[in-house]
Amino acid sequence: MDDKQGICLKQDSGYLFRVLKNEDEDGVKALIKSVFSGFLDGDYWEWKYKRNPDFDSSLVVVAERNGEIVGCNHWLVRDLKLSGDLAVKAVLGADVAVDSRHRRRGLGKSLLLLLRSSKAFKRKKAVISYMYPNPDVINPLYKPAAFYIAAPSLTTRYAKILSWDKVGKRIEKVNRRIRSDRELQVKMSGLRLNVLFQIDGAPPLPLRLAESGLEIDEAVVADPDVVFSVDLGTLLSLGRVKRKVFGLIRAWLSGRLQIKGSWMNLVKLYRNFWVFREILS
Amino acid sequence: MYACLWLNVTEYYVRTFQDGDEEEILRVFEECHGKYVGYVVRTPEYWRWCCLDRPDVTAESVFLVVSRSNERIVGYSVVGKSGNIWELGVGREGDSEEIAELLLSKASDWLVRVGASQINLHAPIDDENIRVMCEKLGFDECRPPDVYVSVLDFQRLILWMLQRRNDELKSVEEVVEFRLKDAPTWVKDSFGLRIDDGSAEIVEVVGKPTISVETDTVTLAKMLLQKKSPLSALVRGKVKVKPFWRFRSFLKLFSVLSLEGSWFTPLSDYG
Repeated sequence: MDDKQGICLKQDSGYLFRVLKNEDEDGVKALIKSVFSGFLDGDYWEWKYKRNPDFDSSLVVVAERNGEIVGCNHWLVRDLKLSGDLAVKAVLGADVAVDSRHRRRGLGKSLLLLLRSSKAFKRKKAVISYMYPNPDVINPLYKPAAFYIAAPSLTTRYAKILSWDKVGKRIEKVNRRIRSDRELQVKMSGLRLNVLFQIDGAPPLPLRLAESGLEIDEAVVADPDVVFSVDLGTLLSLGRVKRKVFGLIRAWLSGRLQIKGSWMNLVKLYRNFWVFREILS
Repeated sequence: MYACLWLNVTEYYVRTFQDGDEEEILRVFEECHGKYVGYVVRTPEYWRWCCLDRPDVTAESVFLVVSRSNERIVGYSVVGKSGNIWELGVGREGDSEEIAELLLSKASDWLVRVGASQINLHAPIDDENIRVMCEKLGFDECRPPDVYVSVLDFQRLILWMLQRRNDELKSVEEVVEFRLKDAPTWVKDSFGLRIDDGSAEIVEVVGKPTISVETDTVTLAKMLLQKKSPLSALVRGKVKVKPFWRFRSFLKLFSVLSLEGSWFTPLSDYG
């Protein structure tokens, strides 16, 4: 085993794990775009890695199957301040991606561990690895496979919504899913629900949900079935919790969330809450 | 080209970035964030890449607040068309409240003008100026993505931590053995540390150490990062110290080994 550019690091169950080659770049960009849709595109990858003064292709590992890139993991070496005057060599683990058709086969774990055992990593003499992971994969992947722990953080985020333009693209995605999923169509058959989201400091978001899909409709403002009033911080945290009903109840009990509507409409909202979670998360 | 964008009757004005401003910006960054840890140490090269060269940022969206009296930069913000205020720093000189207000208003106005759908900003939780200004401008406080850390080399990390606080190790003479029960492949499962009157070195333990510390990888990492108190780890049986009566020496050692300071991650560091 060697870890010079393009040389195989590991072969397992039909997957070839190796270091990034120049000709892999299009495949990696396409994979990143499909996994982090709307977040990372080709230009962004080009800037983040190729134009990065610290980029080292031997710290990018890919998983290949039948000539197609189906997984990747990137490490970027950085000088991270860890204490008053102490900066250490650290690696930022970034953009770990596995093609949706190849998940639950241990690729993510292999991609995480291979870099840790590579000669390239040893040459860098990095002391810690850090990352900003997707919360959904911390417990199943990052903690057990690579012993990640949460750092003590003093960071907070301030956010303000100026318009709902971005939601339009997500609505299209949700509608595509509804159109292609027979089970969903049956579940939503005969559905008609007007929901008005009133989010502090943001313009109102009037949504009409029907069996044909979701749309923004200004007429809903005048005649909503359900009015959902919440602050942005609470709304975003609802998108993160796994057990949505507990999250909703907790927010409602604490007064951070107010929902107005008949019981029938509230049940309809709860049954189809995934739609709103999808577009507002 | 020098572009004066905002003339005010106050002692500051706002202009956009010009080549050569990097050093002053880094000074402001350090004045503003120097008390925190967990961010990438800024060099002009790194800053140019992570701010100026970013696809959604141009020199016209890097706003600098300059003092009229001495022409020094006292605050700056790096704003991206995506709606992210990638960096915002207010220096120690001048009226920090006014500078923060100038920067946030300027960034918000610019983002509205370019049609951004949202505004995002990361700030230290204890920065009251930013909090007050954000509330005034209608921002909501939300939870940022969490930072996760995995230690790749305990030996080097421990050695570095001890070397920078060697004055606290004066008159200490110990050979400490660390044993990790569940060491992953990239971490050594046992290593020794010799401390001798202020100096520390990693050694192979030959013979009997004066203290043996047996724990697991996560507990050791948590104790070093101040996520778990060594005393609580000891009481809960997460750490075994042999001989047990040397537990006070173990606690003293970890009082030196803990990394003080809380992490602040500017949005620009997320990549």
